[in-house]
Amino acid sequence: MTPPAAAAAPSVRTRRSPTPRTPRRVSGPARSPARPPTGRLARPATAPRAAAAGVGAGQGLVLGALSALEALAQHRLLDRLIRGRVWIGIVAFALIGIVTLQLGLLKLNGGIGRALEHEATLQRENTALSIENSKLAAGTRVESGAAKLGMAFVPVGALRFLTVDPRADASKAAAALVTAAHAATQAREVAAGETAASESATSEETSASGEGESSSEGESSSEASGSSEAAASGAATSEAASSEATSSEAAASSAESGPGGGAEAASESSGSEAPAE
Amino acid sequence: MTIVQRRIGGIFAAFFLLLLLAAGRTLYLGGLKAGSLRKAAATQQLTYEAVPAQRGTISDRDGVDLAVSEPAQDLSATPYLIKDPVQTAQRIAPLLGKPQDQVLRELSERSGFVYLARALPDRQARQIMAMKIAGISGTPVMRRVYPRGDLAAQVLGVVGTEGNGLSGLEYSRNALLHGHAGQRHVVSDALGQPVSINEVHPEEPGTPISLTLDANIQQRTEDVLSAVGRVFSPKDATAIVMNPNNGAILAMANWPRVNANDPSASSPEDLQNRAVGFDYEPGSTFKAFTVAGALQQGLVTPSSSFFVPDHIQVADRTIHDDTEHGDETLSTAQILAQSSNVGAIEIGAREGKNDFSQWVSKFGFGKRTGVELPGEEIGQVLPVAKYSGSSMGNLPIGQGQLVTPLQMATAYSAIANGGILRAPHVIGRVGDEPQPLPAGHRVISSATAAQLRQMLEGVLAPGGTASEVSIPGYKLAGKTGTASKVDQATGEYSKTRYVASFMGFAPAAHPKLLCAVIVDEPQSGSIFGGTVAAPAFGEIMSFALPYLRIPPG
Repeated sequence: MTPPAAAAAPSVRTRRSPTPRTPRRVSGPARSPARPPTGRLARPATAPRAAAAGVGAGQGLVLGALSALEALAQHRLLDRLIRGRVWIGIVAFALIGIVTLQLGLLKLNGGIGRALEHEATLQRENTALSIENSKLAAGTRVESGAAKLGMAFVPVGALRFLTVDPRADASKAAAALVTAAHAATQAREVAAGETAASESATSEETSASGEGESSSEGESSSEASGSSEAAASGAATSEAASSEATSSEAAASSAESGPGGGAEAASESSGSEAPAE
Repeated sequence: MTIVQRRIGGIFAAFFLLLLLAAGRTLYLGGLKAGSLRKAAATQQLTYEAVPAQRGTISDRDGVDLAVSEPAQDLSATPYLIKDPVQTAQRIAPLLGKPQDQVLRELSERSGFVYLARALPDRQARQIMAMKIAGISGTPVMRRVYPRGDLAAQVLGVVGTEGNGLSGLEYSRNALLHGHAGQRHVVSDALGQPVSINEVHPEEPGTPISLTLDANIQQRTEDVLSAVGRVFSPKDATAIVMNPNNGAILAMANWPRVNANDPSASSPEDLQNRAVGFDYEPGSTFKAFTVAGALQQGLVTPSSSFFVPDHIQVADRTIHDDTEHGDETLSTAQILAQSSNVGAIEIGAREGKNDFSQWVSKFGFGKRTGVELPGEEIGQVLPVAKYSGSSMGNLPIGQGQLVTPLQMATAYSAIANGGILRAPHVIGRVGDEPQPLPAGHRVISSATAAQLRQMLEGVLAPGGTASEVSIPGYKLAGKTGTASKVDQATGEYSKTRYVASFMGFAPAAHPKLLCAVIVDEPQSGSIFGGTVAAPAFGEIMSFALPYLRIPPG
């Protein structure tokens, strides 16, 4: 007959409580602490010197690693870890990690696929742009576009080429720059004077007689034409040798546009005295 | 056994049963149905995709693309899988650019495979594939596109449907341009999205090639040839513009023009690059080499006098000058300027046939020039052993032997550059590597070349055969040629069929640019080199000289 549970329980309690707590069992074969180390691990220490030399350094390392592994497997902490509930968490974490990794890999592959698609798209676009670029660069198209803007090829005979003279060119350019800047300043002053004169003429017109009006207009117009000529001639001082209308026109127009343009035109015209070859 | 133990046992049994079922199913799928499932997976999930190699781009010397490859697809159909051919044809015909009835015919073929379009532009192909019509599939390929259409079409050549060059540089440099197609192993999911991609063989794109051609000069040269074609209605025409100092070809034009994007619309003759493939008798343009040999040997000087009657008898042949004249005395320079046949034959006679033959060979006639273009003819040069009694009556005036336009341009380059014969070239860079300049060899002294250049100026001076041609500011030099063609029916020189040509360079003293124009059988207007080819030379040079910033001189 089975004894009642209440009767059995105290006996267990009375049996366990006086017994000293034994250390938790460690996995692996039971060992006697007094027994000297045996087996392969002990051999290097006890084997003759000649045999130890035959094992070699490589084998020694392997043996060392094996013994370390054995020690790890028998480590108490590991045993407690495996027996404890933390292990469940670790396994779960590892499983989730593996799944996550797999998902990541799938995503990565999907990404590669999309990248390849993107590459193909870019390649198509690149080719299309290259084709468009080539078509747009067509000389006939550029020429017709330029013609619509009023541009035309310079007649072959009108082209002038400069001769490079590194020693003289810098001083010539500096001189031309000063001349052009001076001419432009003069032109601005004259233009300002002209504006002032016309303003005063307008004010006189409102108050005074018609005689004064005609004379002041005549003066200011003659001044203006004279000043623009001066500007043109000033900019084109160094091109005196060149009698070509095109170059003097260019110099005049660039003198009107500003000192930089005047200097450029002046240096061009100075160089045009000696066409290359 | 307690109830708990029984329950545990029950659960264990249930799980064991499930495990058995799973094992059984695994065995069934993995063993009995393995073959069909593997096939299904292979077709639905595993694919080997061919990755077509991008063919190398061909561009001009400034990087303007002349030939590029773009992604495309070969669209094919499996007719018996198409459920509604009429509706399918209706839907895809506009995208294929074909008439609906033609597409319907193709879809109704009693065949397992039919091409609907080869190298269809990718955009259209994708639109068709997006319709998800069962039985229609696409294979990625590359499509060759020539953005400038007919520009340098005969030089560039064409590419076949399999992506291999068939003519021109596309053919001769196919190994460089072609590249190698790659292969990818793609695993797709149930939605068709790739989940794994492995490159079995990586794709290797073709090497780009940069030419020495200048697209703008090429364009202008072709335009000028088109004008020649309109005015003189020749059989065909060709022109070459090159730098005589390094042999770089800046333009190589042919007329009639062909559209490289649609080569099937042109005849095979029109697709030929006549600059290297046209054998012709050069006529008077060859006299420069007759004189060059005599000058180099010291047999004549530019001022040497020759008694020049209206005609001369050589063996059984009587050769006349172009225009009838009385007996006159002409200098060597005048013989060249006025293109006297009799005078040139007299100079040739001073050289003798052996020396003359050597000079012909020295100037590179009878051999390939070495240009990278395919289909180059070598011409036909008579070996001295085969000279007849009358050979020295027609060879010094450029009749009785065949040359190519490029051979003539190359030989004239030697006169222009001071006596060095150098192989012409049309490829400037391969990939990033500049091509080494071909080594040349001296054929005449620089002094002889200078004398010749000075004499050739006379051709464009008053009294010369091309005196109407001038470019303000530039001194030109050159030689006209009007050569009779042999009538195949009679074997005699024709009285109606000629080749008009002009070889010239500028500036005459220090040439930087050379241009050769050859017009085959001009029909209307004129037949003379001085009036047909020389003005074209003038037009081309008047654009190219300032364009290349070559100073007047």
